[in-house]
Amino acid sequence: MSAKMPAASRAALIAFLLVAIGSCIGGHLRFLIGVPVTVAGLVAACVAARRAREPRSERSRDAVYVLLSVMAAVGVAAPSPEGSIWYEILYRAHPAIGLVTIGILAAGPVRWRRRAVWTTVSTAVLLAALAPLAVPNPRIDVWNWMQTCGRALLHGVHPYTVQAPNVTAGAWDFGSTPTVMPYMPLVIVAAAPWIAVLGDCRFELAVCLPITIVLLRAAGRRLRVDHWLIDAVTLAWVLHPRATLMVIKGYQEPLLVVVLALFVYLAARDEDGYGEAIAFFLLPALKQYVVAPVLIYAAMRRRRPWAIVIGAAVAAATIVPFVVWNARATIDGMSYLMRVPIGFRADSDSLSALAAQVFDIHSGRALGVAAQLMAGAAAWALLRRQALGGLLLASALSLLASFLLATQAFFNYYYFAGALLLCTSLVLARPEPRPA
Amino acid sequence: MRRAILRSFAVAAITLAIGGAVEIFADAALCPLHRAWRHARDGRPDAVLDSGYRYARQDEAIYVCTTPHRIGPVLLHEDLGCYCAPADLGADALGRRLGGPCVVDHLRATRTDASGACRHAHCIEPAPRGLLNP
Repeated sequence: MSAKMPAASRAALIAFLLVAIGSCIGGHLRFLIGVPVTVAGLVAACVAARRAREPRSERSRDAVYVLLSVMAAVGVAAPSPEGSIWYEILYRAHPAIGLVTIGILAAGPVRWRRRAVWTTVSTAVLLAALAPLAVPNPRIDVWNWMQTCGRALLHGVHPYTVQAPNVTAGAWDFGSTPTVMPYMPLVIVAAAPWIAVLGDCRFELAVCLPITIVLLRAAGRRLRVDHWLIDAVTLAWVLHPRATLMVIKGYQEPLLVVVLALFVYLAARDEDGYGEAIAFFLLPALKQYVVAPVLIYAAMRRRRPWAIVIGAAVAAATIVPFVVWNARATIDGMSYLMRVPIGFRADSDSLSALAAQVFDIHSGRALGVAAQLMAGAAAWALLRRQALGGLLLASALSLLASFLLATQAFFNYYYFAGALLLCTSLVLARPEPRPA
Repeated sequence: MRRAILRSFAVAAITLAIGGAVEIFADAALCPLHRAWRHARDGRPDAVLDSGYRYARQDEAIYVCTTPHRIGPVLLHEDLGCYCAPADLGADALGRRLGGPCVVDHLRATRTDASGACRHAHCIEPAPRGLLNP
């Protein structure tokens, strides 16, 4: 078994690990450790971009094992899910099991490695599946909005015309209290069946984890990537320190990640297919901040313009029925985060928040948008010949630059940017075609 | 394989030790509640709290409490904070819960009220502060 891996893939995997570690360190340590480590992740992603353009070389895996162990340690000390005792024990045991698996991944036989990875996947999936039962009423507006609007849709009421009750009864005010659902219609459409059958939209998010794992592993096999890397990527994803909190709080990023994994799986077979175009265009239909990646995608995929047209049409089809139903309410809701003067969040995981703390400089919302577009353009120029790996890495770079300079950026944002880096690592490890 | 497992646990232990050390440093050197306590001790007329995202609800009063900031059993320093708690709880009961004396700053605070030590209805949750709850 080789103890080395492709240098570009390794840099992308290290970038993922640093971003996941940094964005999951909050509280007192946010600006002392968290944001600097996240910035280090951006630097590692830049290194990956450089390595992707160089002739293929190999590097040691040692740094990956060290950072995986650091990430598991951050998971052990993650914020409490505030559920029952049995859930808290399982929540802390999962990263500890992960530490054993990291050791086996580093030096164990293949059979042991496979067993250990699947055991860790099982505990992660169990944690996610039990989250809605262990924490039945999370005090967060995201979940409240999803439940309220999902139920409205199920009763034939336009989801952008209802208002969720304030879960904290006015105790918390972050500078804006939404008067309309600020998310995209597709997330509500996806959540509604789960609310109808199981009563909680978070079961949908829990199911995203095993589907993502299956798709990533299948994509890795299609790309003929070394099995060690498929296991390492699987382990890295299930050990994300706040993966379970994503489900508990009801953040929608797991849905984006499952669509991203589907895109990579489809693109591994046909980089210019219709299916992967549809999957990629569903990303901005799920979350408003995915802007530059779509522009990069369109700029990189010129061979089949119809794939782009069909992808964009499918994305539009998730919005149009709601616009026809009630145009004003739908547009008000989808554009809420852009049009309302939302307050600067000093507790963001961003350089902007750090600058506000240290220098009392409060940047505007335009900075994050400009950073995404500029970083996206620069990354596209550098990586446009690197095909699928270049697209994923350029997308990650644009989003990381945007979040680091945004007025509001939290671990759920970095969760998706991290997933892009993890997929990049998988794709950049693809063996080079043999000379004819 | 055993050595590799031990190495991953060792890296995790070192990570937690570094995180704990930085946390203690931040607690000791950068604690905003202790800064407020020092300002009050020095007789400076600053507000104890005038920022944040937590506001007193209509049924809550704001209490100013001097509380010990501990790391486990070790007393780190004294804190001065604005705590929101039910108006009918009373300063003595809250003081017993937090382990230090409390006085009422606002019985009914409003966001436009810039008087007192806790201004514009800003407050924090009444939980004992320590290493695991900074």
